[in-house]
Amino acid sequence: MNRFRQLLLALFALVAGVLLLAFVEALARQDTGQDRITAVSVLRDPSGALQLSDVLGADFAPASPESRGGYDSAALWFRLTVSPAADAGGTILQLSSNQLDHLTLYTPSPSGWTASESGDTIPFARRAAKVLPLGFLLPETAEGQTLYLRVQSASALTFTIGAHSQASADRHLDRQIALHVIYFSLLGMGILLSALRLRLMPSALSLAILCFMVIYFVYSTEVLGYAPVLIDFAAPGAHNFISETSALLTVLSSMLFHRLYLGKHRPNRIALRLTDTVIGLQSLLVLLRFAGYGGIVGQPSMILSLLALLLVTAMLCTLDMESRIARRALHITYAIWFCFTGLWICSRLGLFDLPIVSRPHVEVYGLNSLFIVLTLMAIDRAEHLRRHHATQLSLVTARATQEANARNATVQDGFMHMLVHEVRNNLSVLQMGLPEISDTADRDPLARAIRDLDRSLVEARHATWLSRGTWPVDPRPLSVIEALDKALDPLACADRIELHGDDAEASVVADAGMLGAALSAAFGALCDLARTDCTLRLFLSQSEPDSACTIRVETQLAAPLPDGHSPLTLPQFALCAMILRQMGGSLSLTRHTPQSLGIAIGLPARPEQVDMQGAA
Amino acid sequence: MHHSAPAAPCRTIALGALLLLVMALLPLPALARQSVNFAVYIDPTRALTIAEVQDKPFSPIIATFGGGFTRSIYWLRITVDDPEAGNIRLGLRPPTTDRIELFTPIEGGWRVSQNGERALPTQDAVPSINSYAFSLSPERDRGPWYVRIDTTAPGALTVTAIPSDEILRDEIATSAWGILTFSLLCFAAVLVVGTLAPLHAPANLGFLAMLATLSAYLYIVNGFSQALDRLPPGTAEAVQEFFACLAVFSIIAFHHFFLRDHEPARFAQRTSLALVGVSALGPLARLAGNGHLGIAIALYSYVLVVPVLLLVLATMRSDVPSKRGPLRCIYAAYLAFLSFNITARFGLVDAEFLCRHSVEALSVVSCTLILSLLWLRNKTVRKAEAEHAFALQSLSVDIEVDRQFRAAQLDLIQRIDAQAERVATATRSLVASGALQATSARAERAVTTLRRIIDRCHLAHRSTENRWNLRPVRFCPATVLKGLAETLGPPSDVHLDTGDAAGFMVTSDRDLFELAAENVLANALRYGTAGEPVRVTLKRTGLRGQAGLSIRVENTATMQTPFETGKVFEKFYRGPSAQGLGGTGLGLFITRDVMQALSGQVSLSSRATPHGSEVTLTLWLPEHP
Repeated sequence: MNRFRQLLLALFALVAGVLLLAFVEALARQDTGQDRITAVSVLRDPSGALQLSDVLGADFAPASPESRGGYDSAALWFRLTVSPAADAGGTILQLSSNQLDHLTLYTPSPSGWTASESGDTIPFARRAAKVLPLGFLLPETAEGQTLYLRVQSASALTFTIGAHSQASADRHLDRQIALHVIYFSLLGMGILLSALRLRLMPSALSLAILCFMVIYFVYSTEVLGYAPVLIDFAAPGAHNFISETSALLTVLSSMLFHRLYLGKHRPNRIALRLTDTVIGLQSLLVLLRFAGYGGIVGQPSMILSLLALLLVTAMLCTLDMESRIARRALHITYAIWFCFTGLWICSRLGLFDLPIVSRPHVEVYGLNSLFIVLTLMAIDRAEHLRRHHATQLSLVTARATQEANARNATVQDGFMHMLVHEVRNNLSVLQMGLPEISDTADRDPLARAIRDLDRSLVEARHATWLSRGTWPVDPRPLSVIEALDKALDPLACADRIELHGDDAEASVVADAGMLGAALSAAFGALCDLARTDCTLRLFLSQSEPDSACTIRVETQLAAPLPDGHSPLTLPQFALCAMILRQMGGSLSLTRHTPQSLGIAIGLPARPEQVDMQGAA
Repeated sequence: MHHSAPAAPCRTIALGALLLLVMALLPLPALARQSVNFAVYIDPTRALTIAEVQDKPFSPIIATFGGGFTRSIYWLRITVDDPEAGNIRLGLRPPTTDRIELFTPIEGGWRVSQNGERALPTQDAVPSINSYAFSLSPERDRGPWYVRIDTTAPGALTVTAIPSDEILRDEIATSAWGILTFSLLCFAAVLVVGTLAPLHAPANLGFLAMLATLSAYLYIVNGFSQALDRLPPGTAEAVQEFFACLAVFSIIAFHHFFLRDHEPARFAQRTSLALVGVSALGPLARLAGNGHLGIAIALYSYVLVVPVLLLVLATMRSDVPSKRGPLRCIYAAYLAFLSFNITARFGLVDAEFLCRHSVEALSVVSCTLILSLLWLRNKTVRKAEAEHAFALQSLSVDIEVDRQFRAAQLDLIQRIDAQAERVATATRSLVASGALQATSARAERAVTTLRRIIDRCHLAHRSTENRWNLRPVRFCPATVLKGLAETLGPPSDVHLDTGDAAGFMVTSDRDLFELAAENVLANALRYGTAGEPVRVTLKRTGLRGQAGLSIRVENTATMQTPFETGKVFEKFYRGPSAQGLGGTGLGLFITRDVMQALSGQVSLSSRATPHGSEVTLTLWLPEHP
């Protein structure tokens, strides 16, 4: 099934890739028919203050109909001639951009020069010609005459001037609309998917993706000229403001989206911090645009975009991703994205130009961004689903383990009950016979074997009670000395224990069985480990009545413990620690050398839930 | 979780209704700006000329007329209230309209312009994306204008008149609807590819194919493909007809494969399959060159979808893979919309807004509702898959935890075993040396019992692990039982009746059989009424067609408390008669597992009697394993 899906996805990606390339090629193709401009020359006016009368006698430099530059207050003056049409029908002079702020066409008339105005700072209804892209309907009298066109824009001045018949321009527009229906549909799909992601996986990243897609959609409608046609604001410059602001916000949201996505995978910290700085600077540019400094933010924004691209590369190279497949997919995706975005930025900065990318740059960047957004969302979603599945499995595992343990604990309980009961019955028979044996040398081995077996059984039962939490607890005031006496008495090393300290009256509130079990386990272990010719020094202290009590024991070891093993991990110490933990006490190591060992048993004055009066 | 399932379809339906409303409201501003009147006359004879038709009674319309696959000629009369208002662009949809002739009054006659799918644009015809358009100049020509429409297209015709300064806005607004439609279709396609599983399921793959076909058809029918690359009239028409037929086929095929899993009645299923087959003839007919037949097949198939779907929905019998209730709710909305769409496309309702975007509405609403259906099914399937995965995980955890538990238990048993062995060795040594004088017999018995307890624990553990190492041999069970009876007590305690099984030989593991039989006999002797013998009866009995031996062990008990027959073979179970007596509670547990390992059976029954109860335990051992 997975192979089928992968095959289908690969086929889908291949077909989509071919279709997209064909689509971009169709967008870049300019088939508006024969251009009727016969001569073009240009004059750059850096101040932007010259009038027609000033340029009429000026020296124009021969130029091509294509122009580059912008991001300043300079104006470009074009002097051009349009050849008369062979057939009937009007002629349209068009510039291949919708982002130019202000255009003025001067055509000769009997009374001198007639000026017509257009541009994205002028409402659509008030433009000289309601056409897309920006342009002018040429009167028949203007054909074959010298015309002057003034172009001024704070944004990029990248455009081509052309003159075509009305029918040819209409066909071209229809073709563009037919292509843009596909383009905007894909962007719309991106918005819907981003919105769905935000609904399913609410996060800053999801929000950044949605914002980016929406802003780029708005930016595209503005730059491609459709927004002013559909929504014609009365305020001049409203669309220009939206267009420029959305351009800045597109860059900002794109940076944010990449930073948030790559930041999740622990990239290089310096690259991450530098990206944050670039994002901060871009935010500043957006604020400057809002403050009305639109003319100075375009170029810095492009430079920041280029910087961000480099930083994204740095972050990408230093990612820490678990899944190798995801990392590889990410690298391939970003490589494609870098190619197109780099080409676009270079063409905007005038560094390099590839017409198939630079002519339909809005669409190419939009599709490129959509591609990376979709791919990253897919990778992220797959990872999310994998984690979600793993979490659910962990939960199921935990529940199943709990249930199985509970079930087994019941079995173990029955087993221990049976074993202790049956074995002890028989051991008691043997114990009753011990007094008959007069020779200590004969009696001691049997007595020790019976005691060890009994102790093992008791400890096993205690372990079962502890693991199930079914210890029959009955807390009451206990004398610690008496408890020690009971616990130490059966031990083989009982006669080698030396008691120090003067707290013979020390007492705590505890369950006698638990305390006895804890002490037996701890001292039993110590006895096993201690040198047979060495004493066990026991210190008992309780600072004042009704306070915590501490029992410290130190002894010399018969043999060093294996390296890397804490003495507290030995089964009997572990059992003691477990019992003490349930009592609210503690077991700690006070000394551990190859030759000696010391432990401290902390006993609380009383368990927290015990009422002293009730216990008494 | 259960409450959220119906909410999703409700939200989808609400969203679909909202989309329809927005779609309906879109053309209203354009309509409000019109000051153009339309009237229509239908000429079934196809023979009337422009001179003759002027005297005919034209019926006023708002915007929509005709439809329904006719060969009649439609004559449309256009008059303008305010000729000074400026030029008008007259648009006629759908772009499947064959031939349109505009008659503009001029001095001494008519200027004829033509446009349409089968005609090249001439005179006043102007390019337009979404319709066949003509430029009217009321200030110059005054009117009225007449339009002769010759089309075999099945859908209703829509006419619009847009002021010339609104043309660009109108085209972009119409395209915006196309964008919305395509966005939703692309969105649905990505969801199908990205989330629905399995992708190769006929319904999911069918939906993907349907989306692709509908998208292509919409792109063509809205004139976008012609704007991209103007094909010759005949070819464009053929392509359009082919995709129309294919779209209808894809819709019908999807529903068939989707609902097939719900096991509709055989008649309904066959009817649905027949409709799929018939609709498949549409594109084939078009490919064979008969577009008229192809369109006719597609149209009638489309109309038949509603009753066939109703039939299938009414006879569905299975709630797998998704519940029928929510499915029917969504289908109810879908069928209502489909009926409405058919009505609009047949021109039964004269309303421009009903017809103008009928194909788009059909695509969007169909795809939204169908997507919610697939979503619903996918959710159910995924839930089942997840439950399956979780059950497997739970099982593997159980196995692992049990394995660890058994290992720990074995460790404990071995530890106790080692220490018990030390006790036994020390005791035996003392007994041998005579150190234990008076209590030596008791001590020896205690040590033996201790050994027996540990052995039982080992056996129980082996039984839990199911690690019996079978060594089948041929032996006589009666002989084994006789030996056991002699070992376990005095001859008077066991009354053995071997019957016809005295020399009956079986092939099985003798040691294990002996272990099981010993457990059973020992139990009967131990917990039976003192002085009452245990009766053991052997009988050759077959079970499930297999020859074997039945061993009945009967004893009486002093207590009337019945056994819990469900629990008697569980670990550590102690029956009422065993209370206060020693024992591990493992004997019958081991017996059951041993008999299962020998492919045999064990059962226990008890019956109350005036003096206590009678307990019968039956072992059955096959002749061959």
